[in-house]
Amino acid sequence: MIDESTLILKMKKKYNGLTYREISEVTGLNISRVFRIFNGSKITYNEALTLHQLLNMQSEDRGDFINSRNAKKIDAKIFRLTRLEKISEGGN
Amino acid sequence: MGGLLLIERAILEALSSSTLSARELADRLGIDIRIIKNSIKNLIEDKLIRYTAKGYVFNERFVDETKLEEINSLDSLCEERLDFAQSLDNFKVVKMSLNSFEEKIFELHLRNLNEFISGVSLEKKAKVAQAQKGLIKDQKVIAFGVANYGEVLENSLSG
Repeated sequence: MIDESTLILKMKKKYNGLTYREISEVTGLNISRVFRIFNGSKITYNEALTLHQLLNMQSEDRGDFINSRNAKKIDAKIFRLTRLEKISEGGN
Repeated sequence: MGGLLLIERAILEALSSSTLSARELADRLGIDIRIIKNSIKNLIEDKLIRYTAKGYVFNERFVDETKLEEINSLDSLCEERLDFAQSLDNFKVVKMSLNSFEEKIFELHLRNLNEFISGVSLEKKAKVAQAQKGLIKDQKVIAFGVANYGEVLENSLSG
């Protein structure tokens, strides 16, 4: 997993031009949390997982070298493992 | 996308027959309440369950049909089966040749096992109230199945 600052940088790049409200809708995070995170506030484990997942989910570069059926399977595995981590780690 | 985790499926199964608090779910499933609460959070986000004054309930009336289809899709159920297989302590895979007589004996055992399971399930359905009171963690998980080695190899190649 990438580190916190890289994650935020990637998110800023990805959602460049969107308002905090729009980013909140896309990510499912509370709008005030989005504002704080984008302005240097510490990110929680749960939030980091959610954002990381969003970045991975919409990444298209994997399709270049992995059969789409396998890519779906890998995404499903990542989804399950992420969900499992969220549940067992408690998020923060 | 990835269906349900086993723990989430167990929570849904428990809530489909009764309204329960997080503590009651933890007791019935034998799982740490912290993990139950985190799972509940996910299930509420997915709109699969909701909170009422008496506790958590399966969101039967308002559940998203596409979500239901997704969690009951073949791919999702396969993932869950894999989780089961990985979690069973005494899960065994045996490769062996059977002559026609042995194959018939084996089929007979399988049929008996199937009939036993169906019989017990019917009996339990008849005593729903009693079954509901039972601890889910004490229920048994049984896995069985048979196939020709060639078919298994072929299926493994098609993914």
